[in-house]
Amino acid sequence: MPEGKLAVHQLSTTDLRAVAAGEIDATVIGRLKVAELSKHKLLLTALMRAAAKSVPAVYAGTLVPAYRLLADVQAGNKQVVRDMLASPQFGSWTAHCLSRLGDFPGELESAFPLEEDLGQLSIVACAAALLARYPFVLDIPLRHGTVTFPMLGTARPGASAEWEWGSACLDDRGGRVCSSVSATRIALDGSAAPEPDDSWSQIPRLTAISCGLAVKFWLDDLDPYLDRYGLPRAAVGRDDLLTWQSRLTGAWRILARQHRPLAAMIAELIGSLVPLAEPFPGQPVSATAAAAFGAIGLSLPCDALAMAEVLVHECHHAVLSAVTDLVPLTRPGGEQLTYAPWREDARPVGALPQGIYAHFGLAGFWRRQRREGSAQARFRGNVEFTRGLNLTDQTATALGDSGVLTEAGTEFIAALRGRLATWHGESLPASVRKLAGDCELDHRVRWRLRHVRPDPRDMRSLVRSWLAGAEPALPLTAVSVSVERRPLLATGTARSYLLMLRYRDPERFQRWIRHGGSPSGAKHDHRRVDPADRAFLSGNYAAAAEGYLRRIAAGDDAESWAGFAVVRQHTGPAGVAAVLAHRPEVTADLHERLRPHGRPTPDRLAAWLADPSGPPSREPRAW
Amino acid sequence: MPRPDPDHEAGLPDLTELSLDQLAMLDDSVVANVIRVLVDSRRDGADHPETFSNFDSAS
Repeated sequence: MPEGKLAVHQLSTTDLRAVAAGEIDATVIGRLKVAELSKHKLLLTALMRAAAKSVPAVYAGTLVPAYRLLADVQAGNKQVVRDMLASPQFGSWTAHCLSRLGDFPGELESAFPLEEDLGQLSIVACAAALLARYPFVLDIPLRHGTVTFPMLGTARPGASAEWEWGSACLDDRGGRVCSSVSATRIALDGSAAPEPDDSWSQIPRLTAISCGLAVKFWLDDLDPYLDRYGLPRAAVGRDDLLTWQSRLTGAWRILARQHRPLAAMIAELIGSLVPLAEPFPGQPVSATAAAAFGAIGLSLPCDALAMAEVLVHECHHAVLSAVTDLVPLTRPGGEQLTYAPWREDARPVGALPQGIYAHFGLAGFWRRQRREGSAQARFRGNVEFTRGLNLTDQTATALGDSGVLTEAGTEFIAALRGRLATWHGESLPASVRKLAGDCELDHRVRWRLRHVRPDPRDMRSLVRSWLAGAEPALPLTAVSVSVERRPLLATGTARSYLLMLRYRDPERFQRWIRHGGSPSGAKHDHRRVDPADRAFLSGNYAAAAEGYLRRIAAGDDAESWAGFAVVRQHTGPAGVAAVLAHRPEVTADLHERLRPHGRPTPDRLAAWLADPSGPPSREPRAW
Repeated sequence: MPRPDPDHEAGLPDLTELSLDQLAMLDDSVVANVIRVLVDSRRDGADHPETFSNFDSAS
C-alpha cells in the first residue's frame, strides 16, 4: 500500500460476468472474502466513532478496553483476529449496533440494553485472546448468567439478574468466566467439558470430507448475533446433532462428487449454520442475511439432497451479497412491487437479483443432478431444472426491462441470461414441461389474484359493455392493474404442495391418491384437500372443473380460480386458458361485479374477454 | 492518515492488512463515504433474505 493511499476492492467486468454465469473460481471467492473482511473492519471503525459521540461513557468504559485487548492480541496473532473480524456474527453485530446508534438502517429491534449490546466487543476480544492464548482479564456482559464466545463455546456461570457484568480471564490457571454466582472453567483444547454440571459447552462442529474435499461448519444455536433471520432458532440436542451430521455427510457426498466447483465455493464461503425452527410442521425454511456473511440459517433438511440444495441456494445469496457490496446492480428507487415466482408476497423489484441468482444457482445444480440416480430421481431432477430455468429466465427478463439495473447490473443479468440461453436448448421430455408448467401457473395465478388489483374504472367499463351485450370497452391487455402488498398466507396450499409431491416423491403422491388424508400424511398437517383439487391431481379434469366452478359460484377464494385456470390449460379452449393464465384477476373481478346480474360463468367471461367478437348473450359450449 | 485512491472515492477501501491501531487513524471521510454507500445499498432492497421451498420433511 502506498504511503497515505488506500487501494479499493474491485471486481472486474470479467469477474462480474463469470459470477453471473456461475463460474466462480477460487480467485474471485478470495476477492469477495477479503472485501467482506474490509467491510467488517470499516463497520467496526464507524461503530467506534459513532459510540464515542453518542455514548461516550460506554465507549470509554467498555469499547476502548475491548478494542485495546483485540489490538494487543492482533500484534501477536494476526490470523486469530482476522478470523474473528471476518466471522458472520461479528459483521452482524457491527451492523446491528450501528443501527442502534442510528447510522445503519434495516435492523431488527434489539432485546438487549445498549451497553450490553456494545459489550459484545468485549466478548469478541476475550474469544480472540483465549484462542491466541493471550493472558488477559476483561469485564463482559452475561445474559441469564451465560456468555457465548464466538468460535469457542458457551459458559454458564449463572447470575443473580437477567443482565449482569462478570469477567473473563486467561492466566496460568487457564481460562475462566466469573459471575456474582460462580466461576466456570473454559476448555480450550477441544476436550470435553471440564465441569460436571454442563457449565461449559463447545459450539458444535459439523464436518465432512468426500473426494478429497473437506468442509467444516459451526452449528451455532446460541450466538445472539446469529439470531437475525426473523425466524425462531432451534435448540440442537445431542441426538439432533447426529442427525445434522448425517445430513451433511450425505449432502457433501453429493456436492463434492457431482458439483465440485459449488462444493468448493460452499466450503470456502460458509462457516456457520444457524439451526432454525420450521414455522409450520413440514415446512422447512432457510435464509441468508447480507450482514452475516458466512452464515446461513436453515431448518433441518428432510434428507441429504435437500441439504445440498439449501447449501447451494443460500451460498449464492451470500455470493451476491458480497458482489453487491462492491458493485451495485440496482439503482435507488427499486421499491416498485412485482412478482417473484419463488415467493408468496409481492417483492420490491430491487430485491429480484437475489432471488434470481439463488435460483439460477439451483437450476445449475439440478442441470447436473438430473443425470444422477434412479429413473425417478432423474425425472425429478428434470422437473426441478425446468422450473428453475423457467422462473429464473422469466424474472431476469422482467428485471432487465424494469429500468432499475445499473450498467453493471445490466451486464450481470445479460451474462446470466446468456448462460440460461445455452441451457434452454437442452432436451426435456414433454411430461416434464407439463408438470413444471402446472406448478408455475398455479403459483402465478394465485399470486396475481392475491396481489394484483384491476383499475375499478376500467372494470366498470367492462361491466357496462357486458350488460349492454357489446364487445369489451377495452382490450384485456389495456386494463390497468396495480400491485398491492398483502399479508402473507400462513402456510402454503395443499394443492401447491401436492403438485410438488407429484415429481419429488411420486410414490407418496400415489399413496395419497389412493388413500387420501392430509397432504403430507402427518396428523399435524392441517392442510385439507378439496374434492376439486383431488380430481385435478388425479387427472380427472372434467370433474375438477365442475368442482372449481361450484366453489367459484359459491364465492370461494382465489384458490378455486387458480385451480380452474390450471385445469383449463389442459382442457382448453386456448383463448379461455390464456385469459385465465395471464389476467385471472380481471376475470375474477368481473365475475364478482356481475354476480348480481345473473352470475355468468367464468368460462363465458373469459371467452368474451378473449374473443370480443362473440356476443356475451351466447351460451358457451360445454367443455 | 490513509485516504482512498481518488480514482475510486466511493469504492470499498482495502483494509485487510490494516491493524486495529491503523484502523483507528482512518480518515473520517473514508468511513463516512463508504458507510453511506452501504446504507444506500440496503435501502435499495439488496438485503432481502429469501426463504427456501416449502417441501415437507414428514416423509
